[in-house]
Amino acid sequence: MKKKKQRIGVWILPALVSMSVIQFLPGFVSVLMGFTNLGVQNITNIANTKFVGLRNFIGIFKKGTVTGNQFMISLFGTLEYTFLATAVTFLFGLGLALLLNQDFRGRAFVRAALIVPWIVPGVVAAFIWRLMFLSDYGVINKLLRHAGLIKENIFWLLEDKALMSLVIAHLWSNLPFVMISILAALQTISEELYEACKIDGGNVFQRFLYITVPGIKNVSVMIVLLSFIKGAGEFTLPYVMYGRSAPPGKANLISILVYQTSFQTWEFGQGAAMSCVVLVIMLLLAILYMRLAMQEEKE
Amino acid sequence: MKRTKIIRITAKIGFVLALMAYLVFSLFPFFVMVSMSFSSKFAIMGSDTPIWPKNPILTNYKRMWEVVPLLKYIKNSIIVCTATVVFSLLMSVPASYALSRFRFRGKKTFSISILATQLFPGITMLLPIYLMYVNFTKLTGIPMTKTLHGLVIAFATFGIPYSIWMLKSYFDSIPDELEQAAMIDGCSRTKAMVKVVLPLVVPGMVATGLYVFLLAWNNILFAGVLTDQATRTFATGLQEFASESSTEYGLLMAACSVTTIPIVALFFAFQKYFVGGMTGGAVKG
Repeated sequence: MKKKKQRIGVWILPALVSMSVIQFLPGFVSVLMGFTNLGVQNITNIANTKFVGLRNFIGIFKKGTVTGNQFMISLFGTLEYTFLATAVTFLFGLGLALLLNQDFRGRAFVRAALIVPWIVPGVVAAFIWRLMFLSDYGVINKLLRHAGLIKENIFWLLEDKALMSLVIAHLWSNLPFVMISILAALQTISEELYEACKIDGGNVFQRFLYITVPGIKNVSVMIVLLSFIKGAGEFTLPYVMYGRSAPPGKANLISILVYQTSFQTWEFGQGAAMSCVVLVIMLLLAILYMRLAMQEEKE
Repeated sequence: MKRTKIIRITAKIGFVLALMAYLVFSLFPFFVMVSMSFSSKFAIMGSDTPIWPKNPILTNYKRMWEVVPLLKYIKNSIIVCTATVVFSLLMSVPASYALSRFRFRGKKTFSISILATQLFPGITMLLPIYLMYVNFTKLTGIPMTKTLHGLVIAFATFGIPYSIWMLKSYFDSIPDELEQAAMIDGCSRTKAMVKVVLPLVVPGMVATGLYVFLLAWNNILFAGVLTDQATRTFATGLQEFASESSTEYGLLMAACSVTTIPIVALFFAFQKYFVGGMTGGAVKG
């Protein structure tokens, strides 16, 4: 028995050691950093670092200051972006999966064509959307103008449109994954169930509610969680779409703000404090979400 | 009778229209990428020029290598991403096997903490990694930032947990009886795992490896901060086409096309493994 235990240790040792050094330790350091005065003066010489208590946290939550305002705008912008992106992607993905679950000629081709955006690297996708959203010679405005739908160019990348544009670009890249996952679950539902329900007099909506929904519930829970995690940490999309300029207002997502604070103004302590807050919010939301998902399971 | 027919036809038209709309939405940006790569600067910047250029040109595909040292960046990317995949798989194969087969103390804590790391946004990991690299270099003299090996280690922060999780579900799908049989025939646990189970998990390892490769290939957050001119990766190098004042969209789209089209082709070749792999974990949920 004792011998067996030692063997198991050998199996997980490589992962345990590497995860400890490159995951658990940095995770711990990142929380600690939020409580220090790390900045441009002592980043290469941590001997001069002092713990400053809650100073950084008070700083980012202080109303009326530049930092405080920016943090609040970014925080709520990120929440809005995450909820919108998750909801829109899930709804369209579900619709698409339901369409593709029908039998029709050329289905294999359509499905393959619809997966293409998922394989386009995120950076490339962001550059393409940036080019398409440009106001003067962007393809979208060109098309809308030709169709006679607009007279003045729309500034897709500015002001209140910015967050929506990010969501559209996110939808394009993430739709295939959601679609394929739901489709895979749909195809495990037995056709006989639908037949049985039909015989018992169930209409389209009842069939959807009592057979389709339970059939895709597990996948949906996973997809929403993954999509949420991805949305809250979104960096590539806003960073590439706005290049060297900061995204406007709410579209300056939290990852971008932490990046600017840490690697442009070199306020590492403050940047770490911001990411601590995000982490706590995500943990709470994830626990709450998993609780809700599991509670329904029991009922 | 007539009414049901009308409903059926409307439903069919609606179905086709919806599908067409999705197809246009998903393929149009791809088309824009290709068409812009064949457009001159003048054709792109014109506000009334057609979307597909009247006089397609190939100069973008020639000039892009001269404006930005793309070949070097692609080489860096291939080295870093391959090393990340190999390192991640080496670290995670034994652990995911153990998680799938053995019961041991701390198993639950271990698997929950692996999942929990997925909650950390990339930027949260980057701050401490940067700090640790800089100070490690100061203590030991071994360079970490601006090096390829430093980037590989940083990429492994998402490569290892992801691989452990994916591979565990592949090991789960293979019945334990296979090893039991081999062990009755005199194999040790290790030998049974390597000779009997591992070959069966190769498709899973390919799918996992490809996915980790793509994640690393796409990363600009770590690669942007942890590299310099000499060690820059392709994804970060693309941004050199955009200067403060103007962006060379023609060259940029040519560079994007050259690297995206092979990936798309590769995807269609491996589609079977890939689609299974990307949904395998989610469906089990």
